[in-house]
Amino acid sequence: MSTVMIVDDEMFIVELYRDILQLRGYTVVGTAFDGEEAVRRYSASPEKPDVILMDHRMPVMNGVEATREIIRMNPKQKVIFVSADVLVEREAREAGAAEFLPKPFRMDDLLEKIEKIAPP
Amino acid sequence: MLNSNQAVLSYLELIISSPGMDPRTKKYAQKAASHIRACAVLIDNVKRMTAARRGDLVTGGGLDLTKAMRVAADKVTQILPDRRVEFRFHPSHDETIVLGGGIVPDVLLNLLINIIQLDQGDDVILKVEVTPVREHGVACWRLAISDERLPLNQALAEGISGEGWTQDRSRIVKMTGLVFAKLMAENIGGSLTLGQCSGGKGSTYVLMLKGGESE
Repeated sequence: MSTVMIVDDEMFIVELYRDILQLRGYTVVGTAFDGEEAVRRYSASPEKPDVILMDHRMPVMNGVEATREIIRMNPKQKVIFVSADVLVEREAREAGAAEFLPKPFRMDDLLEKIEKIAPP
Repeated sequence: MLNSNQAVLSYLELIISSPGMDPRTKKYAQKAASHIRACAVLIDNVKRMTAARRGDLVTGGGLDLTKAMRVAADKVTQILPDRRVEFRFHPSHDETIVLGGGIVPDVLLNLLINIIQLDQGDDVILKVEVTPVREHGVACWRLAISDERLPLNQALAEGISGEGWTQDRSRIVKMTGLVFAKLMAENIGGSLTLGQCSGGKGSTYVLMLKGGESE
């Protein structure tokens, strides 16, 4: 069963991801509400998730910086960057994000991107 | 606000995809999802118009207008899944490059959402033509989107073309997608007008955009 870590500062968005992913057979192995917390939890976790869903605009540390830190620790880590700001796509990909998903997204688009990296 | 829209939209999609749902409830949920998606486009418009006012809107380079129109046609059917829309393309050239590649996709999407929402029929048929023209000595591409079944709304046509646009605020509120399309088209040196179809029946939206070079 594939595993996902969710990074978003909005609690209800984290819950939304969890609902969608669990329905499709994914296991959510971690959540973080800002970039710094994501980096800390990722670093401390012995089991790395198959996919990280990463928001951009978050307090303390944004998604691009968090992605860069995580990819520095593990260049093979797959990060799907999710943002309403399409202008940040290039920056996110340069930081190491494997995929970019613009908000608002269709549920099928989200699942397609995740399944491309890690089937449930 | 966009995150709230995202949550409502996704939960509606979960409801719609639930097995055993009765058709009427499914149709209502699809209509609700359409409104949320259209609302998300409007929020995006406000962000872009604010950027345009600040003068930091990224207009982008060349873009193939016909290809962009096909992408917008696909996208609008995803945004408004409860509407049956048929696009009839009549391409005249293999390559139809215009300036403003960073803006044109949003202009087209807004135009289509509004055109489809104005037509209350069950089936909407839109004829799409892209032809080369010269405007004041400048090479341009003329995109005409025609709905032959929808009678021309004279007040709307005058509103888009003339002063009535800025005077009647209620109209601005109702047709914000068209306001956006017009302002953004003008931002890249183009124009948007509404007139009667060449056959004398129906409405044609004409988007005129400056020609460019492919990147």
